[in-house]
Amino acid sequence: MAPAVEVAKLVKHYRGSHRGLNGIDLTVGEGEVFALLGPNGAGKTTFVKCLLALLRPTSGSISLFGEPAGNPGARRGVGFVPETPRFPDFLSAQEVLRLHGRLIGLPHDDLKLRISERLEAVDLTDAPKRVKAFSKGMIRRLALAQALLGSPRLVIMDEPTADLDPIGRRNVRNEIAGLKDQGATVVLNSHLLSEVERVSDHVAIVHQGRLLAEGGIDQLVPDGQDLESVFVDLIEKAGN
Amino acid sequence: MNAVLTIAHASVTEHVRRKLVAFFGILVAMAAVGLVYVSLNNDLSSTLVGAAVGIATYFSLTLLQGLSTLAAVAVSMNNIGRPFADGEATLILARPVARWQYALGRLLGSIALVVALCLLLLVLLQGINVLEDRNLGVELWGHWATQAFNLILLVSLTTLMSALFNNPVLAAFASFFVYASSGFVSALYLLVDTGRVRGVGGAVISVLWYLTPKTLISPLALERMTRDGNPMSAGSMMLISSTGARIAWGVAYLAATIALTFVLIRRKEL
Repeated sequence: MAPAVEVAKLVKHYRGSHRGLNGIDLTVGEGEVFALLGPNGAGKTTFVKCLLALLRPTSGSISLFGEPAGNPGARRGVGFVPETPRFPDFLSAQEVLRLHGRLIGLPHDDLKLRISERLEAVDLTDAPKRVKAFSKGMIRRLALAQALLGSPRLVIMDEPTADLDPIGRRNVRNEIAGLKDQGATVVLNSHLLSEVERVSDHVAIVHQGRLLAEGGIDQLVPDGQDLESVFVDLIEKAGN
Repeated sequence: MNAVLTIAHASVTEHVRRKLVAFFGILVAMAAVGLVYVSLNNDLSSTLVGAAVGIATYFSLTLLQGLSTLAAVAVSMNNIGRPFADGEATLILARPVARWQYALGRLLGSIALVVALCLLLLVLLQGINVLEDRNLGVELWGHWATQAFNLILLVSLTTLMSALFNNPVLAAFASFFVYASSGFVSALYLLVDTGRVRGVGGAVISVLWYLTPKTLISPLALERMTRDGNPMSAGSMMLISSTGARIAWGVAYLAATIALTFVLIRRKEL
């Protein structure tokens, strides 16, 4: 069975910038909760955008469930929560979910029920009529709802707990745990290390576009230490 | 195709909810009803007031064309650049949607609105004709059918410009400039065609001529043009006089702008 995500020698250079990715090799197995960690500007969001073909890699290859990530079909069964979600502000939450439901080919009869389930799960049933009146937290919750709409096999989350209050963060953790129970794969980008430590079973640390360490939480974090101290040590050793 | 239609539907909803369609619809309807009704109820030659109304009416068709041209630019200037720049396209393109499907969906949404606007105008003007017992039916149909065709060219050109520039205002100005300059470029090309301009200047004019759209000219507009002796449009007509050839030019231009939009949107990064 093909892994959920397979990345080989991934390089992404931006014109006129040192930031990007410099040869990332990674494999995320199906059903894993994988977290990509790194300081600001390490290349985490670039990595996620390359997975979804929103950015064109300079070189290297990416496949999702064995299919090249550049093929639109590879994104069937993939849900995405971006770092700063942006929806058409003239639509309601229901209409946003209907739009995404249609794009992923959910049957018409099924769509209404799934939309109300998802809105209820993220506590947006009584949301204002149009997205333009939503708070940042509500936008984040709507982003989570659209990502999980079609029961995806792979969910990619870029800083999913940013702008959320403690209850919202707990709900995201519960969603991730629920996805894991259902056998879905989760790729998580975050610098909230305590959150990551609680939900992930596979972690990679990137710095300046390079992979510094990768493995299970048990392998990376020795007894008596926590993920944060391991992370800080690695980044300081790597230097600037 | 489902993805294309879903995106087109969302695009139409966007413009309707932003009240852009209502704004142009009301403006155009007011202009059409007001100017034509007033002109039809006056003897244009006998009194000073009648003559003034006549002058106003004379420009009514041009005014309506101008408004519908602005509407076409307004509903397509945000098609690609703005949603890419502000990240609105990110979540759509993270779905199993190809970039060309996104571009085509946005384009079809704009085309649907422009065609609807032309139909609205046609119905209004036709209604006035029937009420006033005038016999302008065929000419009006022909005029607004050619106008719809020209506006579809303009929409595809503006969509192309919005794939080129993230700034919608820049995209609007660029497309309007290219569209509006086609008559002038045709007049210049006539000089090349008749051998009066040669060399580098001739080559530059030839390239410009191929880059600008060849719009259709309705019999109604042609009649006015002949009467007024408009040199730019006359030049354009002399170069491609048959309607069939102009339609073929238009379709080729439409295909080329759509193909180029697909190439540009593939290269855009989010």
